[in-house]
Amino acid sequence: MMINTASASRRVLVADDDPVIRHLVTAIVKTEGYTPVTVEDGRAAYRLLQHDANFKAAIFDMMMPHLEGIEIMRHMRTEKRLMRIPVMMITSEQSPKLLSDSFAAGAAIFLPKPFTAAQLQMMLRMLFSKNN
Amino acid sequence: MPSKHNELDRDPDRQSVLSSRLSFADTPGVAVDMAMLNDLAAAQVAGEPDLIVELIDLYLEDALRRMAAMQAAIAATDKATLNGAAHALRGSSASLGACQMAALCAELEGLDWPDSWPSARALLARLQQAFAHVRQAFTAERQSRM
Repeated sequence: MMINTASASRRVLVADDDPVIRHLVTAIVKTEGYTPVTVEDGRAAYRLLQHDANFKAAIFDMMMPHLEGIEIMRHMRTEKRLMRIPVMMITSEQSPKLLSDSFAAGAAIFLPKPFTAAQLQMMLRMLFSKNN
Repeated sequence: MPSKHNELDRDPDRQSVLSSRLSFADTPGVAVDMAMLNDLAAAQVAGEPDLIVELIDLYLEDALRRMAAMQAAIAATDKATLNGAAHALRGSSASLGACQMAALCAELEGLDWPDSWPSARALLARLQQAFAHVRQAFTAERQSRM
């Protein structure tokens, strides 16, 4: 697949098994002028990342079927072509341990649910600034 | 994933968070925090279909699917599937302002296993009742936007 360089730099990978949250995050990514690329679980995100690293950022739900967000992130940190992609973790859990584990695994931003549109927009801007 | 849920069940920080949410479950007449739902309209993309309507449609469909999964999990005494469905429904419910449903899902996730199947059945029944109110409120909001 040919990928236009300009559009590739505007692509954001969104992985969440919840269709409501996935749609909401996708909409907010669009309002920020980026192109969402969505997958429905962790395994699909992992498979996509095997052959496609052209993402400005990635947003993962912490708990997904097959492969959890934190596990994908740990994998990304072991591959040079993927480690530059900043990751935001979204989760319903608010445990300090999970937050700590996420940052230890390499998350740039940790956003607990529920969140407002403004909160996610602000966090996205912070995330995008990570690899400028 | 069962192992992760077991770890979370033992996490004292999480138990504290769950306990603080339980108060929502017994608040009468609060099916949906409409301000929370309407706040999400800030994510509306110009020229695209109404985002709130789309979110409502996705939620109503997904909630029914999750509750059916919970019912099947209870019948099969499958704790991992029950927790997974409750966890997922808690996240989307809280995000759209369905606070009572979110709190009931948190209660389901926080059950003290392994003797909790009667409690799980009772909580699912309350969840289904709460969903009827949420569906009514969301349907009215949806129609006002069409």
